[in-house]
Amino acid sequence: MSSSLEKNMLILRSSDGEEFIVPEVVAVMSKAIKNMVEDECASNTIPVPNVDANILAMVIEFCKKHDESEAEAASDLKTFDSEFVNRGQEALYDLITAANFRDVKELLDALCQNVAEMIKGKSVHHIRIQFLGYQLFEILTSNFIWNIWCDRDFD
Amino acid sequence: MASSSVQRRQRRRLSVNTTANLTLTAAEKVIGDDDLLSRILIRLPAKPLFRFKTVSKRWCSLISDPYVLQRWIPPKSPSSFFLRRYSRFSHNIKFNHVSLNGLVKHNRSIAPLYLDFFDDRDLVIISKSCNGLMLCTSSWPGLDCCNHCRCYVLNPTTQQYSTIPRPVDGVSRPHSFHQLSI
Repeated sequence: MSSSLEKNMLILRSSDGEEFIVPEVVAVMSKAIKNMVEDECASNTIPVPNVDANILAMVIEFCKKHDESEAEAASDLKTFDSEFVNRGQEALYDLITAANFRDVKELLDALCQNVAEMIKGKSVHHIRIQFLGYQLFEILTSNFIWNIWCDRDFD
Repeated sequence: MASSSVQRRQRRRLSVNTTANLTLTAAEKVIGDDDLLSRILIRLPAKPLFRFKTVSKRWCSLISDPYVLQRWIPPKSPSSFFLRRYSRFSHNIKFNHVSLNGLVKHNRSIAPLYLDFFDDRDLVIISKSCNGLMLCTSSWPGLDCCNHCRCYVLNPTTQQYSTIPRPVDGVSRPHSFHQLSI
């Protein structure tokens, strides 16, 4: 497409209203935005719902670095990736959601690798508490209520 | 009687609804998505992956799913290696298996590997390895190695092996096996 060669700028608006001006080549690293641009259904400002300013800034930083260093050594990129992922520890899962939602494959891969490394040494019990807390709670309470229900009917 | 049971049912539905109103944390949202969870799971090494089958029914069905397992990415760093032991007094070739995962926990992580199941076990060396499989060659100390050399593909985990058949064209070329990659 000719428009992507001209390096024109796009404005991304996060869910809390902050606007980021990014070159189009960087923005189209997100497949979702790329599709919007190619279908020409995007005006200058592209809303990015579900993603707040903090997370969007991080995603854009990641995309910029990857766009610049395409020709650079892969090892540089790897160290950047690991540093980036380490910095984003608190927002790790929000970042994954954003990367998945915006379809940024490189970022999603780096983040999933990080989660895998985090959980690989953990026990099953730990995993259940960390990730299935809510579901377990739901199962337990519904079973509990169900038990009362059965007991009462047998009375 | 009927009305009271209806009331109870309503009460039950209500309480289930209140639990559903709890907000999910970001981690639970990510793990709750089958696609994202499988993306994470395929990056785990084999042992934790299969241990996590017991987390829940959903995890178990995802880990057992052939479509998920097909995309499994093997870990980049090796989890263990084999150390060849030399002895001045005998021609026997032995290997120690050194695990990098449980080195601190278990003192017995350096266990000898017994290649007992081969006929010519004392003379088997490992010539190549790939994806947990090993290409073993039986070496012969004499010069007539060409006639006796045999090649095996061995899975050290299950201790299953199969012998690679010799070429049928009459000329034995054991060194051609060394260029085999598995």
